[in-house]
Amino acid sequence: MGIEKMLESVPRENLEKAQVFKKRLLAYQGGTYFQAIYK
Amino acid sequence: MPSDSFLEKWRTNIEDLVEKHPLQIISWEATRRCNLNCLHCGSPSEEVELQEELTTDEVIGAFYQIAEDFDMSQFRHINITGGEPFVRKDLLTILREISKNPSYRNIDIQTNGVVLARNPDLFPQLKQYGVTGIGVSIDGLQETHDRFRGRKGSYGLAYQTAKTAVENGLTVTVSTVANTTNIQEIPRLYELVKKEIKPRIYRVMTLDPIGRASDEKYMLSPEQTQEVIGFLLKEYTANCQDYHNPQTTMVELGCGGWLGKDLEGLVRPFIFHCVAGINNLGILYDGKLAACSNIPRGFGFEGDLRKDRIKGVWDNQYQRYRNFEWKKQGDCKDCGEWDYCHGGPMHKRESSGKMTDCLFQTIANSKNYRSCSSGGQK
Repeated sequence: MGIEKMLESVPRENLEKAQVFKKRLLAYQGGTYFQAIYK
Repeated sequence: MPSDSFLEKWRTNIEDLVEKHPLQIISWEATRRCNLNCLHCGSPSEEVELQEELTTDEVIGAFYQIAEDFDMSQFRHINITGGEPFVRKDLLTILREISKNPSYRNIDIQTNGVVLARNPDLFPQLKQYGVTGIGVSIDGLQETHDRFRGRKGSYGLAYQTAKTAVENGLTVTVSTVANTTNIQEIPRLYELVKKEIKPRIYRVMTLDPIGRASDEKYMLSPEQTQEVIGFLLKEYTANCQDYHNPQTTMVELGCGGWLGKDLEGLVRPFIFHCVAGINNLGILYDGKLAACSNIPRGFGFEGDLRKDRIKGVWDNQYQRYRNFEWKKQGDCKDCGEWDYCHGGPMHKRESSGKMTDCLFQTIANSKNYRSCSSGGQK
């Protein structure tokens, strides 16, 4: 299928939302980790 | 897609971690013995000399030696695997003794659930002795799981252990090794686990063809691998906004490898980089010093705690885990992902440098790696 098609198969709004969290995962320097990423 | 500046910052963080290689995790392979006989076991007992297992005093002594010699300020946790850790009759004694050290109060145990389901009274003791997390393997719905585990009723025991662990306030991971016989069940299993067990994480790993699974008939094709990762992508992107809530079950792909700049960070709540030998010290059942119990023994060892001071080994060995250039061959040689994955997980690398499996190549280019040997699953 390839990565591009995999990403196209996901609803656009879900992908855009997850990309925001991805930035936080990339930038991250008892619950505080997931609070920092997903809140 | 996030701009390159985010990726570059992440890469800088990784390079800094490699350079400093602080000890943050100890992976202890407690035993190779087991009370089940799984078809896909990557570390079966028949491959080793069981009488070489570390004694109670040797294990406790090793953990105390580490606490004495290392800077423990960044230490995170102990991860106990097997075999089946609970077949060690001295496991509670070891936990009781090592957890007296304040550095060792965040311990995870990976189990098939057989012993804990029959002895739920152990949970309060485990918590008292520093155990904060339990990982339970469930490899399909009841019939599939029992067939794979070689014992009728093992599904019920795993289910019960995971559920009781959640009720006892432990952080629970339910793990499934995706293979050719259970791939169609994974979406249904996930829904069941999420609704009835309610673990913090539902983890899916792709099967590696080693140990008892070395005949490859259980290994996923590229299309099946894409199907599994596509499922995780759909679930993660649909529900990740709720992952801050500790009652939410998160999905994640296990440590099978880097997925490429575009897909990484969209199937699990972390960005993958293998940390074997970087911040993760592995102590194998017989005291050999390695980096992760998923790495086949054929890859070799960095030392032996029966002969060597562990700190000296950590400081002076492990170069092949921290210097990536020797892995830049084959599919890695001209790959555009190299700067971020550095050759992927060490359990998919032979000592010659040959890579036995790459998830990125499998997904992006439908590359089929069957007829290779590689790393482990339990």
